[in-house]
Amino acid sequence: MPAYVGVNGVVYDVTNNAAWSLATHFGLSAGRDLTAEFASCHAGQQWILAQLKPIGRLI
Amino acid sequence: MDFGTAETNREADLMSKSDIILPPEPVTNEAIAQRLYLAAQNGLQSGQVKRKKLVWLELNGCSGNVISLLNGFQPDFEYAITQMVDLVYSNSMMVADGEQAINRLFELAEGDEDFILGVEGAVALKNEGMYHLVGNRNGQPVTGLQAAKMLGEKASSVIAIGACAVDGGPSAARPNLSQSVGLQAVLGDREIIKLPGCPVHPDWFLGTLAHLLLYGQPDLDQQSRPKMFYSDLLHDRCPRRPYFDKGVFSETLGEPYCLFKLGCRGPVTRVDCPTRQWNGHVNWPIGASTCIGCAQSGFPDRMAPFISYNTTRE
Repeated sequence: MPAYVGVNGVVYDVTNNAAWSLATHFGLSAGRDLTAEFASCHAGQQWILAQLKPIGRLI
Repeated sequence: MDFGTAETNREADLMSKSDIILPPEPVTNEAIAQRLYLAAQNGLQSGQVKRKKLVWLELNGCSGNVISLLNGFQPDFEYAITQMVDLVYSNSMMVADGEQAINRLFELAEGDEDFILGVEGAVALKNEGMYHLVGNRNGQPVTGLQAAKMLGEKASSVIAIGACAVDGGPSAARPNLSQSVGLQAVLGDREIIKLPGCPVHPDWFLGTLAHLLLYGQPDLDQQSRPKMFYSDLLHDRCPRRPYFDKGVFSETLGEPYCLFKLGCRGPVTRVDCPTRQWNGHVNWPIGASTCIGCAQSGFPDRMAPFISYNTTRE
């Protein structure tokens, strides 16, 4: 099963992202909208999102 | 006249002077630690470096860091306590016990002695610290909370040794019945050198101690960790890294490929395990299993699950 996360309305694939081992990242699990969590830890780090593969939009 | 011997002596003399490094200067962690050790040794012998007192306070934890320390070499533990510092208090290793030991602790807290404080274990806050006692004095219990505050405010330098002292670690893992916190939470703005790890590698502690004695405080990163040990991302130095880049993943622990799909925390953990290695610099966790991120903040809860099978695949 692939691992997806939502940030700012976009769904990204983190299945093979190094920081998302076992579809978890510092206590967070994939499969959720993590917009608030992303903003609290990675404010201003848009380059992180730019590296991920977008696979869809949250509607 | 025996020129051979004279020459050998001169060479030995040169070798012992750490400021003379002939190119190419080895820059492995081991070589740097060795140079630091020799510089400390020379400084102590010449009287330029003063042997300081060290208080090793064990709070709410498993004593794993003091056990890890005994595994140190270059320098080893014996050298550390006989040459580098005067270990004036350690409840695991000092001869004194009971009232005599606890009185020594209060002497340090109330007197004018200069000392470095190393703390391992978390501070238990529940019931005003009653979930963790370090001893009794005049029939009254002395809590770890009290000892941490009392000595933390007095020490010339404070080193938080291990995951529990740094941010609560396993002692503060859910459900955290003792309401354990890291040392910083009870010492306010006091600057603390933080050495996360479960346990701390003997070199990380002894290297920091040697740096304190020789040059003062080492360069620290934003999380107050010495940059000389906590700069490298494990993943970048991992011998299994080429498999990650090619997308070749182990499906069980016995396979030699990248352990990412099993839950390896190497990609989020910054410390020098791959180049320094453990147990006398011979191996480190990924030789047999995944990295569990023990030197990363939030360990263990935020590093869980440590291992799982078939969680993700394309």
